Amino acid sequence: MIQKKICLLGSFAVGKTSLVKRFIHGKFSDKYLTTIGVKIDKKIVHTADFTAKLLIWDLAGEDEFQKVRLEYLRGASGYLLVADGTRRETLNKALILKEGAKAVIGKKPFVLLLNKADLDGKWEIEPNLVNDFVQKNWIVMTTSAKTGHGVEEAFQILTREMLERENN
Amino acid sequence: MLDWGGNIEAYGIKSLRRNQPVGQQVFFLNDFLPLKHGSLYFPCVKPSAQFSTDIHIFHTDDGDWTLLLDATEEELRQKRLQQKGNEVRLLRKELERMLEGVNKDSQKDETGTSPIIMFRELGEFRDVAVLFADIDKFTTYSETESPEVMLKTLNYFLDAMVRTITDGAGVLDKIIGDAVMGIFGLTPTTDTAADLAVKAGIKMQVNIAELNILRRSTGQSTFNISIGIASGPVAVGMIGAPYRKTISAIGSAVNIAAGLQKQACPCEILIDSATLQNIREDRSCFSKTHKFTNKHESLTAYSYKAPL
Ligand SMILES: Nc1nc2c(ncn2[C@@H]2O[C@H](COP(=O)(O)OP(=O)(O)OP(=O)(O)O)[C@@H](O)[C@H]2O)c(=O)[nH]1
Ligand SMILES: [Mg+2]
Repeated sequence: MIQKKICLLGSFAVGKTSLVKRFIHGKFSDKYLTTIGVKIDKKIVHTADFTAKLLIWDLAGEDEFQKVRLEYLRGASGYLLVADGTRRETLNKALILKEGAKAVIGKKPFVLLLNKADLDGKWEIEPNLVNDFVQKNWIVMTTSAKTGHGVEEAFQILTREMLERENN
Repeated sequence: MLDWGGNIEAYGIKSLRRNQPVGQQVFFLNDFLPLKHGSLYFPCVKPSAQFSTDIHIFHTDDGDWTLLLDATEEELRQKRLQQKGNEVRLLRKELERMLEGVNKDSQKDETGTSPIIMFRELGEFRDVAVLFADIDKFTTYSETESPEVMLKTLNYFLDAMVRTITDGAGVLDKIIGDAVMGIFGLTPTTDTAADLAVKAGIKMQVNIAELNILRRSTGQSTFNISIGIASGPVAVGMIGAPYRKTISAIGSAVNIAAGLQKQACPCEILIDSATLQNIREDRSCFSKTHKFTNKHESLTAYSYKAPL
């Protein structure tokens, strides 16, 4: 079976670990337990068109004092770039990390996730901004690890993108 | 690994075979080997929930060496620090959100509690104290430094200033270059707006002095700040786009506070008489100073000088 390494990249507490937990175990917890270093999980993705085994590297989030070690990305075929829709500054951080990722693994498929969509009352990201990304042909999705909205799709779309790129 | 031994099973590695690609046997090393030159270090990798390992890989003429070191203790140690730090930052963000009223649903929040700051979005008059603080000689400094260094320094100082405002129950109105404007008296407290603003002003001078001591000890440039505070009724309301609303205050107290700040010396706080009258605590640290003109009007200012 085809095997792909993917990473979750983003600022601290945007919900990277929660997205993986939702995707793999179908669960969610409100309690915040920060990730140190990197946690690796595995899951097989099935769709009508393909089956692939994902090695999911959930990286520690970046904060003011600790830079993400982007070397962890080596060998990754793609990544989920995660921002917290209720914290505008995490989007900027995501864009910086995207540049960093490019320096390590080159141009690879990614999906930008604006997570915590269930908290729309606190939403800080203007639709205009999202339009700008869409104009650039980026794949942007809103997700919620809490309700599960968009989570399965995000992993599937990334997998599809990675496999398509490989076939071309 | 086979030759050097160690408890490799503790790392989830079973039945290693020679002359087989290591990536197929130890999946988490797959993308890192072979290494053509240099070395790699990955702290705290958790290939499963059971263990955490530091991975060191280095290249020698004899081939690549891989060293796995148990990182369970180290992970716990770091977790304590990182968890606390991140939680504090999230809390601060939440607090700022409440104080700035950015939460557009705050008027009818799901718990049914009323928001901390309440006023009509269309604007209303409120009795407040306005504080302006400016970093002295920052413009000159910014012309001599690279933008990167300059911005970093600016952020350090602005951060200390803004935090003092929000920690002192004030609301950050705006940041203008190297100056900040805060409004006190919008949140319900038992102190008067003037008390809050003056306390925050004095605390700000202390915080900046401490920051300077720290910076001086590491050979970094230091700065002083000047502060102006004025009190009175101002029109407050929300302005901006639906997704990015900020508070805005308009009134003569705003102009007077800005004017006082411009006349204040480094390390000094100048306040107007309306503020002085509303201080319920000790006023003796303020001394009457020069006349101060605001739009042809002559006013008396009172000065506090921070001990150097
Ligand atoms: N309401 C809501 N909360 C979420 C969502 N996703 C995550 N959270 C919460 O946000 C906090 C942080 O989630 P994590 O998944 O630990 O975030 P992380 O990005 O892995 O954080 P680090 O490992 O520190 O970088 C936790 O309290 C989660 O419960 C979501 O979709 N909606
Ligand atoms: Mg995490």
